Amino acid sequence: MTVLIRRSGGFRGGETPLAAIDTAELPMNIAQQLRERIARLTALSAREPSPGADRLQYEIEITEPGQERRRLTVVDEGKEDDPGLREVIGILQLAGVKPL
Amino acid sequence: MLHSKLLQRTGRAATAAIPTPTPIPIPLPIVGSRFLIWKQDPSVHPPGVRLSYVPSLVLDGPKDVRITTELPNVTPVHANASRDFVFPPGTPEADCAHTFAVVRETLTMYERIRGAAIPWAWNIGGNTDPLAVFPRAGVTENAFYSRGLKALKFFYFTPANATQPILTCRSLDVVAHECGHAVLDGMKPGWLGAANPPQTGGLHEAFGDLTAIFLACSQLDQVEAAVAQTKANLHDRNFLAALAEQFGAAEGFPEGLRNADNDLKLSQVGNEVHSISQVFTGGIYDVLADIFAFEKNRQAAVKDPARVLLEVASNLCRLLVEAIKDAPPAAATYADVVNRMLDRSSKQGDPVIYRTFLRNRFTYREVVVSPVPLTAMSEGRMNLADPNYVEGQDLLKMEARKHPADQAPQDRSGCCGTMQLPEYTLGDQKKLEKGAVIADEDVIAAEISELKKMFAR
Repeated sequence: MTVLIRRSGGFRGGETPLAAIDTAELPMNIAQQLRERIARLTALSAREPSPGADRLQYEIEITEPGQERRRLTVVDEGKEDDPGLREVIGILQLAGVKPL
Repeated sequence: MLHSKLLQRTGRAATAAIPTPTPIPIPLPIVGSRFLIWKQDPSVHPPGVRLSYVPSLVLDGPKDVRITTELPNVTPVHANASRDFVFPPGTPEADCAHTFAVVRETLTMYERIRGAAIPWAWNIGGNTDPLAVFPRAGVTENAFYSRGLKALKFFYFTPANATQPILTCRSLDVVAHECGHAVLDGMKPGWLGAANPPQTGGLHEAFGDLTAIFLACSQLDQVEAAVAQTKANLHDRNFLAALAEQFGAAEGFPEGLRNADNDLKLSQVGNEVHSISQVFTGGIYDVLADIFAFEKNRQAAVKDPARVLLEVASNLCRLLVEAIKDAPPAAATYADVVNRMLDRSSKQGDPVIYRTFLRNRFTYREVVVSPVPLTAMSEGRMNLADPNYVEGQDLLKMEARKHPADQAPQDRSGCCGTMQLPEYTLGDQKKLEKGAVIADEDVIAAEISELKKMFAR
């Protein structure tokens, strides 16, 4: 499974790639944790974000063998304990990327 | 006889002698507060930092009936004995005061234009909840508006190779921009949905940037500084066109994070809402510069250029807001708004050349299609002294130029004395007389009641 994470939007606009992860290159336990976080994020990202402008958003593009590429979007609504954002940070940490 | 006359006289005298209390002048309550404002942001001199007067009632917070300020362990920030919110720049209290004041000035500007209270998007069915402003919402390079949170959030960050953080709340441009989103969301709640085409998102972002420009142009000191800086040529480098200078410099953009004095056409930008917004912002800025150049010359004998800029900007802002009001409730395009500006401009009797500016500038930017070639404009042969100057006909409805990206999904990737306290001067006198504690809610009860009536739609 490959996972691409991009950050976009905000007052500035534009797009910043944050991470490109290939689970085949990760230790098995880390890869498993990443799959679990992706599964939780999939459930969470089904929520419709409330209307707003200039919020940062994180797009997670997942490619798995034999499956269609899918995209998850998490909007940073500035909530301290946003569960979706927590999962994104967790994924980035698993990939060794500096947190947001 | 004499006695009776004396009695009568005495009687009359007694009647006349009833003491009439001499009215004691009651001092009018002091309403309004002074704030120390970064007139652009801490990196822009002129105009630097100045005292600014907000003429409406502001309670400790700062807050009023429409806006509250939130900063844990700091708010409510208390006004001084003169009801002023003046603090040393750089302190949390100053950031709260600055952010509140700019949001208030922005809202007041639009309410003056509309001549009525402008509801926030959630002010429906009698709801009067205020907009919450968070000057230091956390660490990240951003500021945003959220309808769900009923809030503007301003963050701070320390750029690479810098030691001092940049606080987005200290930028008038950023604060006005975000407040612009909130104002527009109140007027056009259907424009924020992601299902709208890219240009609708672009209109939202352009309205934010134009709000910053129109707010600056509504302030006497700013128009004077801009006119002096540019020698009254708005196409010279200036702080009005440059948006979020400090933020932009941190990102490597020396002319502001975005610049309204641009030449971008629709074919040169993508679908990202900030990118595409620059076309509409640039078109309106060009029209502002054109009308200013025309009126500055026409009124040279009677008005200072700074005054002309103040008036021209106010009129153009009104025209834009009224056009937006008339535009479709969802999926609005640039051409929708431009055509309504043309229509309004004609109905209110503007000089024909105003509409020539609008048609030409938005044709050049590939927003609308001109039925005649605009050779005079492209060759610089327009007669700017003729109020009736037109190329072709004075059309009030232009065809929208089609672009492959029109139907694409919106790309969104891309804040002495005690007796002068308002509770004592404006609260319920009977409650005060009974020794009751007057809460902020009592002070603003009448205003809330009035808003409830206005927002009972």
